[in-house]
Amino acid sequence: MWIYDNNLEFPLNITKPDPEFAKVLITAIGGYSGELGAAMRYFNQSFTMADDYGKKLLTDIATEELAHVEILSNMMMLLTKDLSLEELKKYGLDKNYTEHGHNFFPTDVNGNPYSVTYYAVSGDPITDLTEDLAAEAKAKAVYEHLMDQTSNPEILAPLAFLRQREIIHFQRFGELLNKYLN
Amino acid sequence: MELAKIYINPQKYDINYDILNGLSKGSIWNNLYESYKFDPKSLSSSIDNIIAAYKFALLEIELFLDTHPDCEHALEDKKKMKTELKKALLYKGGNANVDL
Repeated sequence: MWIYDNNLEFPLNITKPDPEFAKVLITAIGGYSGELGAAMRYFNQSFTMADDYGKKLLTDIATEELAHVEILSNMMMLLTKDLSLEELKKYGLDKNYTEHGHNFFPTDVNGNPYSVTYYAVSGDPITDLTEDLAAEAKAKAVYEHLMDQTSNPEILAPLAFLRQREIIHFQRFGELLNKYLN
Repeated sequence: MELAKIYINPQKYDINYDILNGLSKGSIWNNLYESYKFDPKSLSSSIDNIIAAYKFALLEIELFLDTHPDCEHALEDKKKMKTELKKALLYKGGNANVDL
């Protein structure tokens, strides 16, 4: 079961909106290397890991990825806070507004909706862990590409945090893979 | 351009006990930290940040224990961090459940 902690894993301090950046940030939630896909992929894969340690690692990381969805969703709200319909239009967010108001639908950067195909589950622990290493490396690359597009330290701080988490998860998946291979 | 790595080095236990610094950087492990374009400033030592930092340190140790279940250093640090988190939660007042 889960216990929810009503605090963000990483504190946010975003003081001014940046709708242009919000438009690209959405992919870190709903894109194919996004956190929502990662959370669901690891949770689903956990059931066919080779031992209880593996099951626990996958569930622990899946849980943390959901906390990352929470951080990014809060960032989306802060980056689009108090924008008028005219401003939303100016930044091309009026299409999103039509369906979802001031909320956001998990999509990639081109507006393609989040897909269950991101689960990428094979039922084989070695195959799945190899997939997970690639997934963490791709998510890290996405954070770097996002960081390339802003110089605002209020946005860079949480992105740097999230990028570093991909490095740690990569390490843990690699350690589990090594254990299963030896 | 630096290329992605596929060989995973075994991790030595090298913890950063400056927990606020660990949270700002995204890891409490000195030897796994790798910066990119931005040098995170340490978070201010408000009680909320201190609580968040202890929770984060415990999460990191928990993930480490998933792949190093017998590491005595980690088990010892987990105990210490829980005690510190409890102190911080009691100081703030409210729910002091540290077994999340």
